[in-house]
Amino acid sequence: MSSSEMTSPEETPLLEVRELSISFGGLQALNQVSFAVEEGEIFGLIGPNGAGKTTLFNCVSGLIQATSGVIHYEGQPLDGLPIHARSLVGIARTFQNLNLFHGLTVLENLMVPVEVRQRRGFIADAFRATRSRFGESQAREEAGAILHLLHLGDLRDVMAGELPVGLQRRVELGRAVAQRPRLLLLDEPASGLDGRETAELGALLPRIARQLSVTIVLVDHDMALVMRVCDRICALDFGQVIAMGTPAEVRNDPTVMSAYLGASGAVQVAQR
Amino acid sequence: MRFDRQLLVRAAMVIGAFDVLYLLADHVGANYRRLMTLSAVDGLLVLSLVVLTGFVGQISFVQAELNGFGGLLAGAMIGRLHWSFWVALPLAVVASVAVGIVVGVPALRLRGLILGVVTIALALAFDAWVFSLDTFKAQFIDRPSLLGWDLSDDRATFAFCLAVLAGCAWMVANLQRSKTGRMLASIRDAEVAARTSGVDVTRAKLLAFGISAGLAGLAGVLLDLTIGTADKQSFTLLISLNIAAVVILMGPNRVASAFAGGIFLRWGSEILDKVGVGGKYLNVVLGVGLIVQLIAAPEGVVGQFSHIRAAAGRSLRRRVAAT
Repeated sequence: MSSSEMTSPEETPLLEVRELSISFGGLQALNQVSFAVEEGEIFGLIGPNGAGKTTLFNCVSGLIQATSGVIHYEGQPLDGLPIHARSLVGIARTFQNLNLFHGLTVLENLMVPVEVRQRRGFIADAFRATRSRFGESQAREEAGAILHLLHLGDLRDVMAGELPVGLQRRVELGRAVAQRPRLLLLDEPASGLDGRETAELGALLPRIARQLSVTIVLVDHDMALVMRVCDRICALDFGQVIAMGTPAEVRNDPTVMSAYLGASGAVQVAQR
Repeated sequence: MRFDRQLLVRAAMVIGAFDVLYLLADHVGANYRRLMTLSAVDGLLVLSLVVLTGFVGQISFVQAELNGFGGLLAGAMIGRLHWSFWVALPLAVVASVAVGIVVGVPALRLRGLILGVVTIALALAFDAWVFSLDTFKAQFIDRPSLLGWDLSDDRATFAFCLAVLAGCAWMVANLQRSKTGRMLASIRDAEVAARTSGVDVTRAKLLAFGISAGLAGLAGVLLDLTIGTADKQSFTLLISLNIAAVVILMGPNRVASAFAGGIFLRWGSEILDKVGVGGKYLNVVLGVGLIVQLIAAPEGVVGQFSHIRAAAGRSLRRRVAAT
């Protein structure tokens, strides 16, 4: 394992996964996985299908429990924190399978995470109190600004479920960004996108990371995208870390090459 | 200011509609007046499912029982304890909310068909056991007066029930278009994504069950007021199933469905009788209507109507613009 963690001792990483193991019945989905993601970086997570990438995301966002091991966020252990509370402390994610609020408009999809952060009960809403109207217009503005950033401004009043896949992915990204996260977990944001859309995404991610000071963990099968935008990459195979380092280091790692051999990813990696 | 003018226009329209309905109720005679009052009461019951099924996508076949719980509990407080109607009403509503939250607990883990079956089991428990308790024996309810306004006049009863329905519908519509409504819709559309977006799904679902049960319980108290008795015969699983069918037929996500549903439930059999079909076939109409609606108008009758109205509005604007 060519681990090249550049953790400086005085700085706690934003996300630290330590010896994380998860098994479903007899299947070992993750096996003693450890890595740390530093504040401000774009961290790639690659590996063939079934390597455990989504399982890892599910564990960080609280959808499943680890069998053993710990996850630290901002230096604090995450276990026991319910799913919605993890969002409130700054962990946002997107889903591999699209998961939009399809009966709401694009703007409303982004307003949900903004508004749950406002302290206001249902009684104010029932009477359309000034507080309710004020919070709503604030949320509208904030969500609108994010849509603008993602070039979705023209679609704000379209029902989210009526959009094509590529745009739905972008709305999901917007909904995650609307949570004002410190840590953004993106699960295959480029899948289903055409070449032009993927290129746009590749330009967008570093901009989001910089402008909104978000740390990004990116899972994707598009190696060109991952290699281009990530500062560091961790490669998983069969639930284990097989390589970690800069894109150049991981690309030339023989273990990674063999893990991908035969898969279309290997061809892509080899060609570049 | 534009906003204030809009509000004035709306208020005028509501008052106008209220007056027209009141004049109608005054004109039609006691029998139809009673049907109109019962329509408003049932509208409130349908509204309870608009919140639960329409807003947050939960199934409940226990609404008529929550309706009955409110009505019978108020009946017990009035008939047995001789409390004032105006004390019994809020207490019965609060108690219904509490029961509704308890009923909502299974919905935190179950969904869809299984949840439906669990609520049916709860409804049967109410029908067979809770409602046969001595506490809930049938009671006569004397109509009270409200700040000198005598509700024993059935015109006044109608006006009161309609005003309560209108007020509740206004609040539910407000919920739908604000933070609470969007939060509930996010759970309905993608529960996992709602959670990871920061929505406290447990709290939100119990809130919806509580509001829904409160509306159903309130409808129960108003039913006492309208028919003058609190009697368990009015609250059975079959009625729960009917209400669920009606709310789906009308379109569960629309507040206007409460009005349409209330009218359908109380006037449907009356109209069938008048045209010579026989009121007992109302459920056949409901069943066939549901099938047609699921194929032809997935958003329900009210939803379809508003689509047609929007299309008509567009073509009208085009025509106006063309001239």
